[in-house]
Amino acid sequence: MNLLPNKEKEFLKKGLKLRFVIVALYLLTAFFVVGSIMLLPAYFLMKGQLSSIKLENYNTKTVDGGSIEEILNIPNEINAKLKFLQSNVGNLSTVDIFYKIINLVPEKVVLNSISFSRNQDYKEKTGIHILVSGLALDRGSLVSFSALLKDSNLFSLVDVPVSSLTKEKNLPFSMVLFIENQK
Amino acid sequence: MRFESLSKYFPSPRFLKPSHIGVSFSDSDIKAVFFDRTLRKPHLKNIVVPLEKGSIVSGSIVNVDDVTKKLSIIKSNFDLPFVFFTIPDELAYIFSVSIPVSAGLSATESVAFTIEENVPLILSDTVFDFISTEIVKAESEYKASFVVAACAKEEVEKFVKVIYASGLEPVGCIHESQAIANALTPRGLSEKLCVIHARENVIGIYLVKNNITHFSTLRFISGGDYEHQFLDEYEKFLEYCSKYNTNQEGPIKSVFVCGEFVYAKKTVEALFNFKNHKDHIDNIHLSNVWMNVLKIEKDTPNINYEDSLNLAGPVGAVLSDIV
Repeated sequence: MNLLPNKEKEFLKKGLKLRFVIVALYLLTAFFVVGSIMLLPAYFLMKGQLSSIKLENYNTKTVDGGSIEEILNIPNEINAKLKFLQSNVGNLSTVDIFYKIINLVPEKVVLNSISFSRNQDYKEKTGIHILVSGLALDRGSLVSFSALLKDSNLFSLVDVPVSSLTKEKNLPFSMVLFIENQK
Repeated sequence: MRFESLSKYFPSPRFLKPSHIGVSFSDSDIKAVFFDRTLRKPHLKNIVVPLEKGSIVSGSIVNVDDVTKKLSIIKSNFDLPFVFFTIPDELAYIFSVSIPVSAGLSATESVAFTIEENVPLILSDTVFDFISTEIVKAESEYKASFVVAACAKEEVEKFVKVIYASGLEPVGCIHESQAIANALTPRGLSEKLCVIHARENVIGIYLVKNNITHFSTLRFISGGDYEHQFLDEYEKFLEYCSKYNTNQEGPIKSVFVCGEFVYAKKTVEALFNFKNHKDHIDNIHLSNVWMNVLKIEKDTPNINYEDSLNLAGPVGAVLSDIV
């Protein structure tokens, strides 16, 4: 029982609500404070671990600095080697050159050997020097073979020595094919 | 309250239900008591501040300045600002009503309609509160019995005004007879009791049942034989009780006497001299105002018994719930 006038009772209710809000806020604050305190050990543990990891990383860097640099330089090295190969090969593989020569060999010509050497100087030029030797059944076949090689546009020079054409039939030959290096 | 069962296990923090000073006003003084009612053996603190003659007349504040000044003394003696005060019996009206109740019908409104029938005041000028005592099924409807306490709004506002003016804050107000019942009757006691509040110039006689004051009567003593005047009023009280004992609850079992020690003693003596009367009650006590505060057989209060007998009002105010 409470005989206070209604106005006073309303004040009381408001006061109670206000106190409730304050108590709730205090509890919330206490919750955060307790939560923060409980998180502190984990924080310090993590901080300690992080600093030890940082230290380990720092030490690793000084020991393996050279190898890391080496690894980082691999692409450059590969690039240089590729350039070197490109400059040497000039977009032509040995197998391709062999394949093309063999393709052009007429029926009456038999090849005995193909000698292949890169970066050779020939008639003041540098390039791939190919020495092809074999046996031609007749002169015409040898001439047509040398003509086919010239027409293929693969070789900058097709040199058939005149001595190879002295005989009429079964003439042994050796011709020089030269591919100049691309600049 | 809806969460009563929960609040038993999870009591509200003190900040939500602040402790309060119990204050009672009489024509001659202001009494204030404070103790922490949540403790088993609380420290008791009290002060009685005498008023200038005419500051309060027949329970009504006349000299606002003097009452404010005396309340300021009380404030300076206690550390907390919250006050639960009692309205003097001279200003309070207590009556019982039985009204039909049903779902959706406001009990407050129903009780408000009965105010003007029972109190010599118009509804708008009245503050009232009530406690339900019984709900019975009568034919097709339910009827609830209420004990209603009412008081002139203007008078209560005077008390509230002086309390605020002194720097205190009122948190509750109760009629003095109910406050005394709160202090003197053991909690949960369902039997009918008579409580006598004896003072030099006025005697209050209350009918208490289930810790609720159902009826009160006042007798102003104007010279002459104190005992004779008291017994005259007491006889009328007993007559009223037997006349309105409609529920066959049986006679009053005990009488508790409190108030100014000298007059309380006179009253007890008068009651013993009354033993040849047909309505004589054997069980007569000079009360223990600390009944619901501490176990007097184990803990000795720091206020002597004679003085404490006059503090039933403020003790009951401290024991009263705000909500």
